[in-house]
Amino acid sequence: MSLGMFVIFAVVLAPLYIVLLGWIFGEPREYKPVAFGVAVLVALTLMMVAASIVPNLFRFVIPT
Amino acid sequence: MSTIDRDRLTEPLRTTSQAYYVAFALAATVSLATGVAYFLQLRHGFAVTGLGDWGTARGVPWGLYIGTFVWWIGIAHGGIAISAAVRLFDLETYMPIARIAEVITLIALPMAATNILFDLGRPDHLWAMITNWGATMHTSPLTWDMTTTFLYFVMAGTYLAITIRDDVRYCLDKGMLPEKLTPLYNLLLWGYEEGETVKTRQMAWWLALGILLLVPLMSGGVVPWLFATMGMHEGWFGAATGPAMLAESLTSALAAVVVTAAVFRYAYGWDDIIDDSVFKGLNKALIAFILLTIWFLLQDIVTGLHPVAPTATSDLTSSLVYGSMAAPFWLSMTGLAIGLVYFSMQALKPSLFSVRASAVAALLVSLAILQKKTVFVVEGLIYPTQEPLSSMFPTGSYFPTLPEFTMALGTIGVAALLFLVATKVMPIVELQEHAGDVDVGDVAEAEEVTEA
Repeated sequence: MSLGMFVIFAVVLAPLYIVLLGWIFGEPREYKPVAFGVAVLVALTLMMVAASIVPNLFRFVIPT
Repeated sequence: MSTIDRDRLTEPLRTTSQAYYVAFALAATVSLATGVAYFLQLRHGFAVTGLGDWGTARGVPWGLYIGTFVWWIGIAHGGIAISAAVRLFDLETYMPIARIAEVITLIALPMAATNILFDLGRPDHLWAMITNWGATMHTSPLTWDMTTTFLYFVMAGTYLAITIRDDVRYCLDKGMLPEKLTPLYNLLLWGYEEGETVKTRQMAWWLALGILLLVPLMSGGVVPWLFATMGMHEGWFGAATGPAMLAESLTSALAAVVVTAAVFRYAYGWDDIIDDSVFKGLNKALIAFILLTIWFLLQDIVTGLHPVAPTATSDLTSSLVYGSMAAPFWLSMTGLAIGLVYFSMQALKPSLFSVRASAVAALLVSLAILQKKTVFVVEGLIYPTQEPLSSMFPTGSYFPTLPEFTMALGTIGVAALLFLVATKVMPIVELQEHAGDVDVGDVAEAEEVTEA
């Protein structure tokens, strides 16, 4: 395992693991709001990646 | 909570004052100037900036943009960290500013990213960072930084989405929200049920915990590691960089919350909603964080000026204290000192307290930290004080140009513009929480209240 894999998957993402475990196993166990929460997490991640494409359009204005 | 109270809390949604239009016009003008300056940079390249190649070219490749990026990251922490702490530690006094703080975070993070975009030169380089993630994540602190910033934004956004659903439902029913955005609100209310409050509170509690854990990982972790892993630059390397940077970040972040809360209180006459106790508590926290920031600086200066200090450290420290970097360094120290003196005096003699003076002092402190961050970034690049670099490269020089100032500081105007828009599309104070009828830390009690 590289240092970067340890930093990202064992350290940086640890708070997210805790949140997801708390949502799933915490009382009261209702999974509809959890599904909404996970959907928002995924949607925002995809939105951020999609937003990063916008500056990429610059290469059509001034080719590399 | 009575309907009248809710009406007051939703006033920003329903009324638009002349002052709002003036503020909007000012923020829009600054944003436009930022856009024009960026266009100039895209057209003419970094020639319009004071940045240059490091080493034999005697330039500094990182300057005001990176300093402002680090500052915005710090501001982002204070925002949602305050809101998370309110939920986690049951600090109901600060509930009126919780959502304001959350919005600060969601605006500050894109502003940080914007400054990175400014510094990248070609904006399409950003996409290269994403497509190369799999390869660079193994060793690149910049990739760790980007990943954590993404995660922080996603968790902060989810936190807002979860905690705002009740309020959006209420405001939508009352016709207070812009009709054009109704599809977006309906999406936000997907699967919403009145009885879900207990579960969403529990979910928000866990998110608050996760966000508070991310704060030291980010401002005290991946951001300082970005610098500290480049040990050839004197002033950046060292284990204490993380805690020192975290202290500075939390100082500027709390200061930004004080300023923003004071503006809202003044604009909407919310003296009874955001009352004096909120500002007095934040001012006390600021005393602690300013002292912590100064304590870390003192460590650097005392050890750096001692006769047995390593030559490179000694050269850099003396340049900060009485050399060519002294002016910007002491300017930032003066801002911190003024803030510390005022906050301490008003704590000892309450008659000296005023919200306006607190806001001015907090603004000075936050700008002082911005200056300090920029000095930190530049000092590591301007002096190649370590061998063999000191024998190879001359001392560099850097002063930001007008386009740089316009773009970096212009992001403050863009943030203000986004904040003004935010007040028109969402309730900026938590309507349910502010009712005082729910204990944020106790799910069981919340359930009883909901049932009632």
